[in-house]
Amino acid sequence: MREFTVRVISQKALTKDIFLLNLKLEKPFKSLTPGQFFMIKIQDGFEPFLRRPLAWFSYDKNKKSIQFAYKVVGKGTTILAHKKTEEKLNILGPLGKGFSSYLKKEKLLFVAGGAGIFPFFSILENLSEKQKKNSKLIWGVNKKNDLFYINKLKNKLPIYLVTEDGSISKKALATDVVEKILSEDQNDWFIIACGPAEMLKNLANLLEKYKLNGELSMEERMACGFGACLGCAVPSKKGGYLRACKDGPVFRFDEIDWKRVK
Amino acid sequence: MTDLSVEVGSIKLKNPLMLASGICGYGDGFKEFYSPEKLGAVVTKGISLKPREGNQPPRIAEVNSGMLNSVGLENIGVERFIKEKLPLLIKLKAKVVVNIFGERLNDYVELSERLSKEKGIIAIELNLSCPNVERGAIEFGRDPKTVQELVKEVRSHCKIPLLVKLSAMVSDLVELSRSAIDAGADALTLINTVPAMAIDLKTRRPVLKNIFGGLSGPAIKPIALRAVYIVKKNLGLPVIGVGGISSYEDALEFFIAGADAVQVGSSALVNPYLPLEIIKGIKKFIKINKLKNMGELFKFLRSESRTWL
Repeated sequence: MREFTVRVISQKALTKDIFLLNLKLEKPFKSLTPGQFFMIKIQDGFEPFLRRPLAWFSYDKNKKSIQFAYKVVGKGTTILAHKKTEEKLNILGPLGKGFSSYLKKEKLLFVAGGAGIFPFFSILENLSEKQKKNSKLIWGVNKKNDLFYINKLKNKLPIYLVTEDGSISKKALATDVVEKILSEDQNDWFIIACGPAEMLKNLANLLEKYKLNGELSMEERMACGFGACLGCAVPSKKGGYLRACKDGPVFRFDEIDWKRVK
Repeated sequence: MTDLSVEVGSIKLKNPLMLASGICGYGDGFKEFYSPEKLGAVVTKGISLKPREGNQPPRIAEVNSGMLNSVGLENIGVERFIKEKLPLLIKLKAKVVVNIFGERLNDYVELSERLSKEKGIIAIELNLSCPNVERGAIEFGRDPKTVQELVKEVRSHCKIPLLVKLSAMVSDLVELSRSAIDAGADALTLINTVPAMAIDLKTRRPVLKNIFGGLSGPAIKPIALRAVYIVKKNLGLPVIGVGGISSYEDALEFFIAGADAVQVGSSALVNPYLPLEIIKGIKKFIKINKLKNMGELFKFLRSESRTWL
C-alpha cells in the first residue's frame, strides 16, 4: 500500500451515471486482487474532506495504467466525473482483501446488483476453462440503460440479465434468478456477489437454505480506508464488528451477522 | 539536527507532534506508513475496563471541511490492550499515551491503577466527555467538582503523568481546567470532538445510525484555538492543542495560542503522512527564522502576544 500521484489519461461515460476513469501510473503494482480498492483524494483542499473508496476495474501492467469504474452518487463522484486529461489525483492503495476464495472453485455463480458488476470484469478475464464451462453470471439492474459492456461479459460466461422495471424480458431481481437456478441444481455452487446490502442479505438467506458458501464485497462509509479509525463497521458473526476496509471488503457469507445488517 | 524536544508538564517528548486518540487504532494504526517512533507520542483509542462493541453503522458522515464520527468508543478492553497491543507498541518504540474512559468514577481509578503497573506508557489521557451513570448521565467533564474528585482519585492511585481531555462545549472551560490541574493533572488536552449531526436529504434521515456524532477536522480549528488560548491565558499551565490541524502552519497557530504540543486527528486519516510533514515544516520554520529549538520557537511565535494577551 502506498500513496501516489496519478494522471488522468481519459474518462468516458458508460451509462448516464457510470464513468470509466483511466489513470496513468508512474510505477506498476506487483499485484492487484479483484475487489481491492483505493482511497481517492478528489481534489486539493478540504472539500470534499474525505477520500472516496473506489475498487479498481482493470489494470494494464505494461501500459502502467489503471482504470476505475464508478457511479456518480454524490459530491465527490460528481467532481470526479469532471476530471479531464492531464489532471492529477492523489490515491492511496491498494487496500483491503479482494476476491480470492473463488480461485480454487470450479462451479461459480456470480451475482451482481447494479454497479456491483464492476469487480467481476477483471475476475472473468482470468477464469480457467473449467470455471468458464461450469459457471454462470447474473446481473440485476434497475433498468435497461444501467447495463454496459454486455458483449465483454457474454464472451466469457452464460449471463442472465434482469431488470427491476421489466425493460428486458420480465421484471425480476438478481436473487429471483439465483433462487430459480438453485432450485433446479443446488450442488457445489460457490457464490461470488457484489451489490446493495439488501441483495446480499437476501442472498445470504438463500445460501443458508441451500447450504452453500460464497464470498461477497461489502460497502460501508469509510474515513481512513486503512483500518485505523473503526468507522466502516460490519456486523460480525462472532459478535462485535469487522472493518470493511481491512477485514474486507470481501468477506465470506458466513463471517457476517446478517441479522444485524440494515 | 534541529532539536524539537518539548516538555509538557513532566512529560518529555522528542517532538511536539502526537497522533490523536481514535484515529490510530491502539497506537499502531499508521505503522504501514511509518514507524510511530518518529512521533512525539501516539494516543490510543479510548480504553475501557470491559471491551465495547461500539455503535451500529453508519458511523461516519462527511460534512463541510470535516467529518462526524459515532464509532461509540469501540475497544478491546484494558486487559486485551495490555496483553495484545502494548507489547507491539513497545517493540515499535512508540511513546504511548493511553486514553481511558469509564461509566463511573471508579472505572477511571481502576483503569489508571491497572495501567500504572505496566511499562511503556508515558501518560494517561482521561476522556471526560462520557456520561457519568452514577450522576444522571451528566458528562464527567462538565462539572468542576466531579473533575476535581475524579482527577484527585486517579492521581492518588497512579504515578503516571495525567492528561485531562475536555470538550469545548461546556459552560466554563477555564474553571474545569483549573479543577483538573489543581487536582494533580499534568496538562490539558483541548479539545474533544464537538457534538453534531448530519442529515441525508435523499433518505430524509440522519446520516449516522446513532443520529449524533462528534465533529472533527478543519471545521473545528477555530473552536479549538479559542479553547487553547483562554485556558493558557488564564492558567498558564501546560496545554496540548487538538482540533482541525491540517498543516504545520496550523500547528504554529496553536503554539501562538498557547499549546505546548499538538495532536493531529482527522486530517491524518486523509493524509497519513501529515504528522511527518508537520514535523518537517516546523523544522524548516525554525531554520528559516534562525532559531535553535522549540523553546526559542515558542518565544518567537509568542513575541507578539504581549501586546494583546
